[in-house]
Amino acid sequence: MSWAAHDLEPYVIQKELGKRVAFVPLLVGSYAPDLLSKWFVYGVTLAGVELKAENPAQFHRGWPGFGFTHSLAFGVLVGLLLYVIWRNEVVAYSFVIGQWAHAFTDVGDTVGTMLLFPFTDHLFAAGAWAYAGQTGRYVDAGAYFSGLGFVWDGVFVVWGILSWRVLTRGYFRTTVMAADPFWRWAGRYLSETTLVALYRASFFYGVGRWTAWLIWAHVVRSFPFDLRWGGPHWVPRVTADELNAAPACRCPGCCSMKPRLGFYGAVAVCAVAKGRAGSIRELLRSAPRRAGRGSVPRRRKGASSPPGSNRSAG
Amino acid sequence: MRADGAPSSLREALARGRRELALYLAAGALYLAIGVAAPEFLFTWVVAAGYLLLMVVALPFVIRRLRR
Repeated sequence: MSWAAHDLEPYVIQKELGKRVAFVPLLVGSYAPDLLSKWFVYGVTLAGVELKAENPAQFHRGWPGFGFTHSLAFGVLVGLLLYVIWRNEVVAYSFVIGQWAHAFTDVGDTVGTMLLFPFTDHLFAAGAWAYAGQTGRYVDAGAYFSGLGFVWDGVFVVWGILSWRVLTRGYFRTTVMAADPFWRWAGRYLSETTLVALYRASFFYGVGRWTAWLIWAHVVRSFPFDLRWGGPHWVPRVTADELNAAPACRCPGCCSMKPRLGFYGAVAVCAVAKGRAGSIRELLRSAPRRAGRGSVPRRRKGASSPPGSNRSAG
Repeated sequence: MRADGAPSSLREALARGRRELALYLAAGALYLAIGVAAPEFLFTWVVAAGYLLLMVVALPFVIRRLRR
């Protein structure tokens, strides 16, 4: 599980896709997998009765349980449902993108997600940080902010801050409102200042809680840092093979998620992405909905050759 | 100003929205202080959104009204 990434991913995606995504369905999609299940994982007390899952990890990520909400098919299914209701493909696929971002992010912990459910109930897990939802909210927070989980969230905090342009009022007015019917509807009842504050709320929440939990875990309390793979090892963690997946799975998906192979894979993906960055940018520029941005090619400072000439030659 | 409505540079953005940024930063600092002292405050998005609306929309509105 992630504590801040799901709040911040939509802003990063918004920055990359601009008018081609609708922010509210993107955000709802990003929260959707945990929306109905997380409270039952940690438990709540209502009128003196404690409601909590008997096996929180199984309930949250497994099958039988609510683990199907973390599958790619769930996102597509709800996306189709939204399309049937709204008849707006941008709303539908924005939800799918948000939900997929959540499902892929949660692959990082030791339980992982059933990405390919219902075709298989196999849990794809990178195992980078410990899943400790069964220990309760406070110990889970202490563990998460002591292992690689908070580093992963930190990537999105930094990336989100680097995407500061999407938080500006001008961007909201020109790009976010134009693409998302929700804001146009809400704009009939609320002032622009209120709309902008609501739009920024998840960013505020993500950065704020990431910082506050980090301080709480290591200044107020003294949870020890353990940045080893699968850590922290002082917390009782749940792993994928304890749930519905077959033990010691040899499928290509799981083998590729072993730390070393995962690292090599990440390096390869970065190298390919860097090599293709030029062509992706060109592709995005040529997209019809962003005619304004793509009309004037940008030129690097001090570059003597026309932009893109080096890339096309390579 | 860029085609997507965002300012072309951070300097331009800060020049235009300095007061607003200060308001958000102050709200953020208080949110952190409350959150560290009482982590229950950090549990839900609804509380954070409500708090933000109170701090950056409602409170400045009330103060403006009182000043008139």
